[in-house]
Amino acid sequence: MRQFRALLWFAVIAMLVLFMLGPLAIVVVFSFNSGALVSLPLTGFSLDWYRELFSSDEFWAAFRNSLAVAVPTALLATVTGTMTALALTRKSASASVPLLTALSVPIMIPPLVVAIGLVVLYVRWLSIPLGIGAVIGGHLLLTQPLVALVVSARMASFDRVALEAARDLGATPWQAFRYVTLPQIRAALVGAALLAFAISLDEFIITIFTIGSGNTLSTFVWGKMRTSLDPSINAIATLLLVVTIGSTAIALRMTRYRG
Amino acid sequence: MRGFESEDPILRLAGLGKRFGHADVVKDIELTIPRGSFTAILGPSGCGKSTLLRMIGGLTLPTSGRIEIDGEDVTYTPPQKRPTNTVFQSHGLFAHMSVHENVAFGLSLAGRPREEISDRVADALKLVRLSGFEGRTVDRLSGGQQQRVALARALVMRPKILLLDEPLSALDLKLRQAMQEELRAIHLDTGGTFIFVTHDQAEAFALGDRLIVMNQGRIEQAGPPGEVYARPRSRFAAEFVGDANFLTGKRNNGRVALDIGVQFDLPGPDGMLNLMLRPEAARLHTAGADSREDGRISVEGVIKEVVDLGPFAQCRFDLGGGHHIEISGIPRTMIGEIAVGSRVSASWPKSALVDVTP
Repeated sequence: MRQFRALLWFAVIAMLVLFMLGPLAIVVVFSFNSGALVSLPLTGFSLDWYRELFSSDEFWAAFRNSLAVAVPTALLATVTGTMTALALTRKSASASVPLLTALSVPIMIPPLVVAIGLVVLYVRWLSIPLGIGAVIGGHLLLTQPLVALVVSARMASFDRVALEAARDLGATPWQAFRYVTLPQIRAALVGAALLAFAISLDEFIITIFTIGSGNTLSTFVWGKMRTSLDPSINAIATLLLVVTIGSTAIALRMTRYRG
Repeated sequence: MRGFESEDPILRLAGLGKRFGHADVVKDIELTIPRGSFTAILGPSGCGKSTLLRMIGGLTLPTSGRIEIDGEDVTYTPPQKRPTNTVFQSHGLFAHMSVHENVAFGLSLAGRPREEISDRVADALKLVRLSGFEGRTVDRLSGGQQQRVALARALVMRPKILLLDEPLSALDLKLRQAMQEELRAIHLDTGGTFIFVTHDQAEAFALGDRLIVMNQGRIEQAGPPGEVYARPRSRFAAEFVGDANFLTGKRNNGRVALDIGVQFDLPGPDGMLNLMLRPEAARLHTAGADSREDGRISVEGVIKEVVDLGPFAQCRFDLGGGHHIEISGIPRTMIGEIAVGSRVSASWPKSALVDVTP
């Protein structure tokens, strides 16, 4: 009986894993398959789809746009989100919790509503042209509250007396931040920046509404799926997978995060 | 012991006050602290003593008044530019740094040469008996060791005034006593000016050569500890620095009539009177010993309760009419003679009575 239950558990877990990781495995496997159809049997190992992708100017344009959006988004969101969190830690909980919740509203309402609102705001009121800058603005709306939440959580266990001690020992407010606060929240900052980067990289709805013309990787893939379902999409997905896992691994190593 | 109005003050506070919203946390403090002294600021929690210390260190800005350190106005000088350093109650150590880096922090910010830093850090760690701990991370240290790192980190800066905010309150009794001894030795060694905030009167007496009693944002009394104990100026000061009996009465033409039914001459203004008597100043007289010496006030009463404290005993002495006093410091040899319920006399010198009438 016990053996049967153990077996059942194993089966359930195996199916969960299969269901969640299966599509990823299929994407990776077929990106290296020579056939043009995503169907068995496999026809042979090939790098053709990568070759095709890398020779496509459209791909490189989308790739550059993605970086041009995700890198500034990650940096700006980390700076402003951290400043928000640091400012909030000086307030009492009864003041900081509602403020943080108010700042998090953009994550809680449907992205479609945010996207439409942004377009109206940009075009009608601010006369800001749609494009990369407009996308960054939209992504900041989504990523900055997440950074603020992550950093606030870290600051909750931060010893504020240590900051006063630093000031007392001759540090200016900036030096106290630089030598006492920053080293202790660095891991949280890198984590938050990566989170913002990842969210921005695969964000689709706000991007397609506010980019005007041109593509990022997510809108490029979407466009390709509407016209031709060829395995070079699998190649893009595999690349994104490698970039995300790789950068996370590097960040964890950099921040000496253990467990 | 130094006189209270020193010729060479290192710190001068004039009309210093701090208001948070509508609450005056510190009110109109006038105070001078002489160079090289060890001052204990004593008061109940919420009396404004920590706020006063923070204002001296620059961590809290005053809302009124003036702070002078060594003749220089530092009222609005930021903490990093003041010649003061603080040992915090909860240490405030830098958790991501080693012991050496913690102690070296202030000196490296000041841009001192590397050799000087390592020499001075080594000296400071030796002073607090933590030599050999340089490479440890601070979270691997015990509470007492962390306390000593915090002390070394402040001392290494050679502050004109070292501020200590209840630094020992987080430690257990044995460690606290050991640290008190070390603090006294370090004060002698360095010859610096220490200001120490505490709510523990025993600690204030053990450490300070000067005592400031604070209550509700004001200085209740300031002076050498022995003087504050023997001649408190208010009921609050009397009770806060030790145990006290209070005897109420009236004075008319220099003749005092206490409510416990005793009369004697004591010059002063007419009116209601409140006199303080320390429990150890009264003496019990058994077996009809003559208690009517010159200048002593003598009363009759009944022993109500005896507590044997080991070296001494104390008792509750009922004077009738709902009045009673505590008498302590009763020698062991007398314990057998003072049975509960026995009727004896007690006396004290007139000079032991301190007028604390508001």
